[in-house]
Amino acid sequence: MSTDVTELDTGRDRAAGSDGPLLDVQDLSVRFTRRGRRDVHAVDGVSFSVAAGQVVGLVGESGSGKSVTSLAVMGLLPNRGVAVDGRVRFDGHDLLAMNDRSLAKMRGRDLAMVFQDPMSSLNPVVPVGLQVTEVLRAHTDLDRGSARDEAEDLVRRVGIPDPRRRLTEYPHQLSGGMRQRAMIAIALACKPRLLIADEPTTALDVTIQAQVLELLKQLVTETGTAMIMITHDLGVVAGLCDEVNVMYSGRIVETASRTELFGVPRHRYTQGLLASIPRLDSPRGEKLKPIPGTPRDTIAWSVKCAFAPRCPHEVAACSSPDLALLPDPVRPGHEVRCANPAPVPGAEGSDSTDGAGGADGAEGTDAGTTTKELR
Amino acid sequence: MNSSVDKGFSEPSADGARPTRTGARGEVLLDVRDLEVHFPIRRGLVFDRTVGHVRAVDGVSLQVRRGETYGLVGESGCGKSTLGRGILRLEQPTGGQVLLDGTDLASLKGEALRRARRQMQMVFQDPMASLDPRQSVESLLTEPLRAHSDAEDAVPKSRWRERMLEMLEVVGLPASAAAKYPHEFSGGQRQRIGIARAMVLNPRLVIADEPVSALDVSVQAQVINLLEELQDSLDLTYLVIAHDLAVVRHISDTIGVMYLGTIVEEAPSDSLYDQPLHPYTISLMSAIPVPDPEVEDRRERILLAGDLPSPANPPSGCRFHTRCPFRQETRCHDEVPLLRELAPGHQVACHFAEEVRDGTVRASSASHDPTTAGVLVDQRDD
Repeated sequence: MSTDVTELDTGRDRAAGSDGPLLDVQDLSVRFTRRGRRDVHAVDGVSFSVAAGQVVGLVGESGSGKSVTSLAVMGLLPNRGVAVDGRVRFDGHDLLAMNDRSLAKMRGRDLAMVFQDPMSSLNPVVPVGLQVTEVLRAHTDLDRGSARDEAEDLVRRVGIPDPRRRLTEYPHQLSGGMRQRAMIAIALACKPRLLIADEPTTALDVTIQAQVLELLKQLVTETGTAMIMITHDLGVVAGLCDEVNVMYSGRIVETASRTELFGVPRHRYTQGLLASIPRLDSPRGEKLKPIPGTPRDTIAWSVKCAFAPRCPHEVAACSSPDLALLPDPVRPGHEVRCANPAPVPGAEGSDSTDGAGGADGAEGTDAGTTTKELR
Repeated sequence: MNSSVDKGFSEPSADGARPTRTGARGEVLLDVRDLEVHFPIRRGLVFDRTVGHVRAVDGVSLQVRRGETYGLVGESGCGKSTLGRGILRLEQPTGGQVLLDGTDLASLKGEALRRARRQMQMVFQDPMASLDPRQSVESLLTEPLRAHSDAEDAVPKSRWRERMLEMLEVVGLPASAAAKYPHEFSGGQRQRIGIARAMVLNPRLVIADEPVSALDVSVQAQVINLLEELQDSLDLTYLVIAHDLAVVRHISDTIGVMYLGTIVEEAPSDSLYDQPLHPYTISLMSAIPVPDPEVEDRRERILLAGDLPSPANPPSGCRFHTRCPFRQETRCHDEVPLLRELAPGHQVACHFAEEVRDGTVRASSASHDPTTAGVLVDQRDD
């Protein structure tokens, strides 16, 4: 690890038994620019880190910037019309400063990605087998024969029956679940140290989803691969991730460990999401409590809280520009970007005013809430 | 939203746009008997031979009571959408009967069928694909009125606009939406338009095929609540088709679980959740992620092996036996299980349902490889 790592906020490094994050993203921002139009801030100052053997979740709805974050980390965004700022350190290398050639060497070998839709991310006119051996041939010095053997072994390990025959087939001949397994086999071919899974199970049925998630879970525990799990499904997060970052409109609004986030959600958005999804184990007949509006109804963070237009708990302090992601004073490791966070159940006194942290106007917080709720 | 619903529909409109509903809540409105939808597989250029059939829906019977919601769940390819389309005659059933209030829809033809369609409407999954991008919302919502303007109790042309605005209000869209086009709306709003279009004729039966799966998580709840409110205020009967068991359980009174063209279990919603009896339902439930880490860590997960078999050549005997973790040596592979009622209203098609329930037959745990054998008991301790 390079010395830069030590400068970082040590509170972020929560991985057990590891001496520093494998991937460290600091203040990443991605702007899409187009002449004559206003820039789109897809990702706006995102920071997180992933240690070996750790699964970090990026959760958000469409347009929250979670996929763009992963593409920026992988260096897969186009060069033109995109401005990427910030720092992405992977094992001492600054990925953003690397040239295309050296980045191409790392991708596939150290960094790998599983995309959402295997039908559009596998090459339809190349047999699956060739797509697996291609990675092996590019990054290792295996010859053609041993690459094929290795590919067969990989494909068998991810759970595709009859691998020898399957390798000669084309993507359209495989079922959805098998295609996704083939994608995972390609991603794992060179035993990457970081795997980014972008909605890997969204296109799959629940029974197949369970198989794929089980496979990914085994992988992390057995090989110590670090993983970034990008999803909108809070259920997937609850079962898989160690750390969860909730994103909204390009920024992380809440960061916490898995149990902490689901046990004590502080941000009003996280809380609203958890209340709005029907749960299999909740009593029936209760009305769902939806979040009003749509993810499109946002305001730039530089004006006020982007979630404020949809938030039922908006107070005066929410109008302050650029709310900070502040650590919770009493709950270590829990950070929230909210001027009026949800109170911690059971802990009186540590409610909204406490969590408001640096946000000014905390005095008016409670009064503001009541008026809004009465309306 | 509640208030607007009441406002528009607390009383039947004077022009009779709302026919008086005969029959009480709780009596059977839709009775599907042994419905089959088979698609021929054709081969050959010169001789157009039929070499087999895809048995998408293969003998399904179900009953939906007036004012209730019947939920159909299953994986993609199990035939649930085809069943919905077959009921509405959007696909031609190859066998069986569909009785809507006593009329057999499956045998209706031509003009009679067109008239009957007024009573049944559909809400589609993808609102972008099911709304004509070149029609304004006003045109979209008055089209059903235009199509059925020859009915005896049709809304007169002079009142189309009024009716359309009423519908917009009911689904929670502003009146200004009428002049806009589908692309100007978000996904959730488009689905509201789709729902308004289905409701504008005041149908008796609404079939909703994956009504929320294309929507953002935070918007899904809005649409689910809207469907529930409309059901109460308009006295609707729903058949909801979805793959998400949590959504289905939330809105349904009765749930049918489909596997490979047949219903394998049918039960009142709570009873199905409290005690799933069919091995497929049990595995399906155990596979659904619950947004609660404590539940996730504690529960046993039964992983099913492999994929859905081809409906063109379904397995012999019980169709689920190729993937079933509870498979037995006898009966499963050669004897087709029929639906049996084990508890009031709770039917299951499994030879060994009682044994599975009582725990005398256990899921096989032959291997820990999730792909070759059926089961992997996952107990992760943190």
